[in-house]
Amino acid sequence: MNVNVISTSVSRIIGLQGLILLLPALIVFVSGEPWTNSFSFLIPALLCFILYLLLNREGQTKFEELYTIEGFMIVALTWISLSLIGALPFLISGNLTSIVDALFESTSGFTGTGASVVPDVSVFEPSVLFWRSLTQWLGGMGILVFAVAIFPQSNASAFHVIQAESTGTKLGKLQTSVSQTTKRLISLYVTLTIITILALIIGGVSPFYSMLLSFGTAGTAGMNPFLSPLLPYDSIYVQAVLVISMLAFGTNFNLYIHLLNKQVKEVWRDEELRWYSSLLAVAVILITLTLVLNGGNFVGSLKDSLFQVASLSTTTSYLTADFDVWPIFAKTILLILMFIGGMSGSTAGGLKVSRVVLLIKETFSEIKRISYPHRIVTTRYNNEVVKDRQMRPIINYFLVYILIFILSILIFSLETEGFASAFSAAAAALNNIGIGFNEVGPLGTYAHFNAPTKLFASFLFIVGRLEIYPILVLFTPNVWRRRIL
Amino acid sequence: MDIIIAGGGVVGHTLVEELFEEGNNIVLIEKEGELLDKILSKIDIDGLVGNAASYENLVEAGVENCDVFISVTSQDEINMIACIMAKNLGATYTIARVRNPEYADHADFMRQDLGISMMINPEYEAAQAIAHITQFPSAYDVEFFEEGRVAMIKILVSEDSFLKGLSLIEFRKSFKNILVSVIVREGESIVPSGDDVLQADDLIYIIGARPDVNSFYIASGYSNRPIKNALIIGGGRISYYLIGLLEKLHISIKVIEEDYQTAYELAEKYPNSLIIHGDGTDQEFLDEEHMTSFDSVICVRPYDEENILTSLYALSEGIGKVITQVSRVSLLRILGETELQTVITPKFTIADKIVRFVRSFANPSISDMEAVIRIEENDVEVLQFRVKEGSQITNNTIMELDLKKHTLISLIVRHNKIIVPSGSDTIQTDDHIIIVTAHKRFDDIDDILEGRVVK
Repeated sequence: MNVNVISTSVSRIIGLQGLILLLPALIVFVSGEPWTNSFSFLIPALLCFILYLLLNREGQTKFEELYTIEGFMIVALTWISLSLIGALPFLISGNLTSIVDALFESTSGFTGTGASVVPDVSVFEPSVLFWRSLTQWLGGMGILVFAVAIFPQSNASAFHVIQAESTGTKLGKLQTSVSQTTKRLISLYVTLTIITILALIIGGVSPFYSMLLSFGTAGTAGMNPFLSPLLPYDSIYVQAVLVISMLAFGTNFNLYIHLLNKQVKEVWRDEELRWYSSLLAVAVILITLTLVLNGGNFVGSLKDSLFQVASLSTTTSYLTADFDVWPIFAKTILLILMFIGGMSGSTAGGLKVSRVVLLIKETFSEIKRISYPHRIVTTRYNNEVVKDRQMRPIINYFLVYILIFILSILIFSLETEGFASAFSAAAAALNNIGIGFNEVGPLGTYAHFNAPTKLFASFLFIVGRLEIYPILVLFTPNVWRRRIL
Repeated sequence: MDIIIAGGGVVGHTLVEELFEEGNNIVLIEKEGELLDKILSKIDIDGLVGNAASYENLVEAGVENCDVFISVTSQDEINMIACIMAKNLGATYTIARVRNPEYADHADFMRQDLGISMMINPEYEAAQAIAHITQFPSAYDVEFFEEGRVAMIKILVSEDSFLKGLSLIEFRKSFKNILVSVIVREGESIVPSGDDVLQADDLIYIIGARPDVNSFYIASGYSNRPIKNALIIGGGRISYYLIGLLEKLHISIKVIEEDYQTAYELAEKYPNSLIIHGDGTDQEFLDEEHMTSFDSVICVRPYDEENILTSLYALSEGIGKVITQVSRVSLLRILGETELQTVITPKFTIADKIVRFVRSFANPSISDMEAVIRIEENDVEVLQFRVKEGSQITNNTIMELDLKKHTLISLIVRHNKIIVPSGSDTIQTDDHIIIVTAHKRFDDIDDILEGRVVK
């Protein structure tokens, strides 16, 4: 393993975090807080710069030696260090006193989960509140760059569901360089965020809250910056902006790149997009019907189901209705959406639509293979055959995912009352949603858990965000022992 | 005419034989000395051992004065390079065997910029021939002219057919728009005259506009139930093209292929067809795959013997239509005349195409030959010409023309109208006419007249 590469790469990201920490320091002055509050951000920033100098081994680093395993280490360590340093402003400002709580909030932000242990956000100064939301935005950008630009071009198959839906090498296609793709992604991400902020300001949301809401949307995290658990906006316009924006960030960013390249046909034909939109449409219709049959009025039910479906399926978790009081059928649909998650190549969490589609298709193929043993049965995705070696990682991922999920239910069950709470807490954490049912539902938080459970939840956020394997690799002893066998 | 052929494989060998018989001077370039010796010992041509894409060898073979250069080695790339070199060294026309569709897709560019006059793909041609046959399931053979508007089919006059005992004059009276062009009786092909009488067990070739042939086909009690599904045994190159062609005709397909990789690639290419991995010669396996419930079985494995045996098995199980690929036709002589229904020989399909090219394009000033199809092991030729200004046959009515024996004017296409001629018709300039003849080497329409000497 090439330690220098890992150390240098992580140091760069920490350096970048130092620069970004200067932003909330600016907010301190804009919002008219006492100037001493800026130390909450300047001290961690300074720490970042020192760490940058200590860890950066630019001179001795051979970037050609960046293999899959180094890549895994880099992502894992990136999110861990981002979360650790990101917790400091909460503590230094004194807004949070518990280290575990601060870590929980920071991790929840950087992993785009959006869960919180703070029932009352009035404890936060505006600048800290800003930082809390900004972490979501940074986490979203990080995952995009890693998942769409860097990893598909390496051999790390765990980070893109299959080659066909990434920008990776494809027969007869000109390939764009990583740096080019990264630049385009970041500018796309920034542009979409700015559009959302502006659209919200037009709708009468204050500029400050427009930014906070947009950050949560972009990272598909949905940390609630308000006192009330439900969004305090009844305006259809604001809700519509948020729905469109959440769905936009839950869409594969490769599709936007195709659009920019004027490859409309590729977007139109994209199988995942088709499945995703049909899935959402069916879910909205079913939930609306359920609500109407249970006495809701049609327009209100449609509005509520649309917003909640968009929010939970993209794993954002902004809410406009307390779905905990909905009929169990509607809640179960939401739960299914939570597991499926958004599209691959987006900032959304969950299993990802393409994975689920592939797993279902493979199941049907397997049934055919069993019934007709001599028949050659292939699973096709985006009109191309999915080879066994492409399918195997997907099936394995699903297995590991299920195992970790079961383990998580067990751990949450130590501190929850009902099965629904334990089950949904595990689902909400592993799929980076942040909201489940009952205790961790729309009206609840993670505040009542004890420290070990909070830490485990934070850990689970990172496991889910990085799609399991990087963290597993990080904790594989052989990787560290520099063994060659 | 001076022709250089590169590559002495199956197709090359056939071409050498056929073009030699047509009276051409041939030089064969083949890299295997032994193979060359074997061919030279049978046919009196010049030979050269070496690589066809080598400058020295091409010059040595006399490429600068040659009329047609044909490259049919096993490699597409060598064929293409050899043709480009031959063209630049002075060959008038070049023909390359190109199997890879990625190269063959751009025929115009190849012709205009690289100077490859024609690209041929034996497997594709064979697949197309099979696809044609599925259109007339009870026919033994099917040929199309005029982009499929004219059909010629080979059918059996059975014991209980009302055609039995009918003279051709009577036949014309009942079926005005079609014509019996050839009668095959006890292995011998006859280009018939009006007095000939149809007998049981005759195989006859019927020609006419496709709808007319179709309605005759139905009226005379041949099954018009279209083929709805096909079991293809063997997943080689022919199948690769055939599946695509049959899918377009809405025929459902099951393919049995022994090699897993080949089978997998087919499954990748054709998701709507069933691809089975297994041994297509194993009769139990065929039963397991429900062979008997198929309308048709097509055997295109690389081994003639296996194709023949599997076909015989399929026929014995009562499959309505069995098509067999056979490369060495001599094998068929051990079987009876009508034992196998339909035999496809890729090298002949290709040879027909090249012979037509050599006869027509290579001397365009003499005639406009549009198609050459040779049937019944080359006993009979079906030729299509465009009649040019000043042709002698436009002078008289057909009755008054003094045609050579065993030659028949079967069909006239005039301004897209299909006419089955009677004696009182006159051929006009710009007509496309189809003739059937037992003579060989006609390359001009006037060759059909008595007294004209064929070069």
